[in-house]
Amino acid sequence: MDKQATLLFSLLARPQKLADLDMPTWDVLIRQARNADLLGRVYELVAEHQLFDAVPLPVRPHLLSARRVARRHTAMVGFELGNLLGILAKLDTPVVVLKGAAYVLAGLPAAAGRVFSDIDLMVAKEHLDEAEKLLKIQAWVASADSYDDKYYRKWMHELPPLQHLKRHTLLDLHHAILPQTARLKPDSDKLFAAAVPVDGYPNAFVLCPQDMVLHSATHLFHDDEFKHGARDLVDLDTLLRYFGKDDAFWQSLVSRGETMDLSRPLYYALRFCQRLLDTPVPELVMAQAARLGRPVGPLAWLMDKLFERALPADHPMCVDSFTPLAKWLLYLRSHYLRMPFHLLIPHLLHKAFISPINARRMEKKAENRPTIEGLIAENKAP
Amino acid sequence: MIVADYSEEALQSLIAGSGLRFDVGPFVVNLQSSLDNFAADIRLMYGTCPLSTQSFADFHVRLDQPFGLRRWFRPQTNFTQDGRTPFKPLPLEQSFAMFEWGLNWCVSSQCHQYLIVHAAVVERAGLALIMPAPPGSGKSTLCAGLVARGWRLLTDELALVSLEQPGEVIALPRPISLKNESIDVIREFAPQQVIGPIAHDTAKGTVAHMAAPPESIRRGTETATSRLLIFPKYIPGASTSIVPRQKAASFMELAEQSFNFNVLGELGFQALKQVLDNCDCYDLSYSDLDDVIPALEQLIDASGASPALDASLTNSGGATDG
Amino acid sequence: MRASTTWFVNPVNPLFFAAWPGEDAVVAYQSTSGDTHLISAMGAAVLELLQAAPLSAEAVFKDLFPDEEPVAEALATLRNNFLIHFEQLGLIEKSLS
Repeated sequence: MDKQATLLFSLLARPQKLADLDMPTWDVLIRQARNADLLGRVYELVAEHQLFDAVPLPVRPHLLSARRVARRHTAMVGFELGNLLGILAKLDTPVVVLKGAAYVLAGLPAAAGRVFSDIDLMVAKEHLDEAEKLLKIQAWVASADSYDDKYYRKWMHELPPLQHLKRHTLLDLHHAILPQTARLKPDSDKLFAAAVPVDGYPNAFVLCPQDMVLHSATHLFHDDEFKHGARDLVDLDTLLRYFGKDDAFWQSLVSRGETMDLSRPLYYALRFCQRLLDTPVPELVMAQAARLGRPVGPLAWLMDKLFERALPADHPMCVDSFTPLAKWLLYLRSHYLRMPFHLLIPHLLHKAFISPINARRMEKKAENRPTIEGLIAENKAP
Repeated sequence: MIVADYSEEALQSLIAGSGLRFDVGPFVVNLQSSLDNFAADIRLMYGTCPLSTQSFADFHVRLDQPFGLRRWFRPQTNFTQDGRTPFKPLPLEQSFAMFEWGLNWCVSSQCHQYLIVHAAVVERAGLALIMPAPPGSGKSTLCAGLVARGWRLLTDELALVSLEQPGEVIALPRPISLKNESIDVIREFAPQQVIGPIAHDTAKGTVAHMAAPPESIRRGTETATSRLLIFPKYIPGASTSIVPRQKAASFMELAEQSFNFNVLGELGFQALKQVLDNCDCYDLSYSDLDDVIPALEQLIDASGASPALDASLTNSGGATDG
Repeated sequence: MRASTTWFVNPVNPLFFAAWPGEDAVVAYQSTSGDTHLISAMGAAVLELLQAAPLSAEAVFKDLFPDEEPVAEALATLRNNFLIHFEQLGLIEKSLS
């Protein structure tokens, strides 16, 4: 990968360098960051390091624009969470807020400048049906067709995505962080037991710092949505830098990964954050994570090559001839990881000929994008 | 230097290479294409736009034929911005229209430094007449007619309302999109105007564009103060009728026609409120351009800078960016 | 509906109004949901009161019509046509303290 292909990552790793960029480099950066949904993040870094005066005038509107979108997304997520937690309060059971929405609710720096394609919540499996009923009354309805619907309910760790009829916000309601069929089996009970309550909402929890990192890592390195690979890696980097200020976090991270059966994704997360974003990971932690999670022999080399292609911004200039194959192999891998092979065959065939579920789901999300990025898409005045 | 200073051949090689970079209103567009004849359309429709020497472009866009066997029996065009495709490919003869729609998408989805409303805006004596666009309203025909009679074109599709100067509209002088019968109506009404390539059977029927007059492009950096908000309706055979309407209801229509009212939150609300403070609002029905244009000229000349405008200038606290 | 019910605009979801002299409708904008509503001038007056302070239906009535008696029928109309409707739209909330 040449230098231009990794420009976005190298600047995110060393934001002070934003002060000295020339116009042609800004030209490249803005385009990569926009495609990676990281333009709002670039704004936040510029603001944090007080570099806005060093940004050339023609570039500024793009950063301000991205900030406005990100703030709107954050406000919308806050608004929807308020409603959702209110609706689910009737369950009288903990609701764990996951991923981006959790960063907003917990006020973490990872929320700054971020955009959202959906909201992820988790409740214990025995409350899932009741939760769905309560949500349905309040206009949150399943948006999948009947095959998708069966697929989700039978094999996945979440309900088919729900969508608010009026505001079109997407909601994923989970009962675990990986599908029931996945090879790795993180125990949801342990996640609930360690979850941290959130001020202001009697029923709201977020994962404990270690689990939050593990979940983010699992999502990135076990999922097929490398469309958001760059953004998800930046999430991980931001979480690690923030939680990592506390030594206690590092001391228990690797052992927590082992307990949760997630040593492999944790290893990848630490490795690629360090490699691509210069995330400070203590040497000892890296060594322990590698001992437990590093794949053996040539596989380690291959996975390096694959992820190096899949993680940078989704932009033509970040692509080489190996990139499409790398993404396809990772896509296959994500399915191999999710379910045993005999289940995978009919599923893949079904995808090819009738209903490409994940591709379609991505399309649905992409459809929202042209109108005004994701969440707020069709949410116009009535 | 302007785009038309280059010969068609020189433009073609620029577009096929690193790209033609030119100013469109407040934006710099970098256009690349592997299509054979795209330079001719660009030279005709954007010829008076200044070439840009800036090394930062707001939008890098491409028009290409998609790969695959279809290209031999059903040639198509694909619009991309940095590898992203907002639309499905369209027939090759709709290439120029697709460029226009693609650029609309870039501006309306990425430029939240403005409140963006789907509306035509024209100016006379510094005052802006805004015409929002429920489909089939005939606002583009009226816009083209007014422009052909000397009103300055600010925009035909995307009204850029300033968030920094309350009530001001920023110019984005680009070709005016004419549909179906409007094409012949304008040809007959204003034969001196430049009409571009005709695209048949688009999603909107037959589409052709009228180039923005050179004078409108030359004055592209001047803003105009919102003063009249007109909801036009073309009704065959109808005589011109101009009826006042309420501002609150008009606010709702503009919000409905806005691309980013909700992205901007309170800032967008305040910007739109200022526009309504400034504007007298009317429903307009018409069928005859020769009749309606003098009526609108009279209306805007009589309105002047209104008491509402003065009041708003003194008590507008200015929206903040929260 | 008990007499001690109070209604209020939650400060977390503030409302913004746009109104012009001589018009019988008002724009109410809720920035958190992004919803924009066109409401009657009377409705806007009710919302403005509830944005200033939590009030019972009786208190709203007395503020709007200081010289009238808040008879049961009038209060029921205020609740059904305004308060409950606004609550369903997510513009106001109620508390049963």
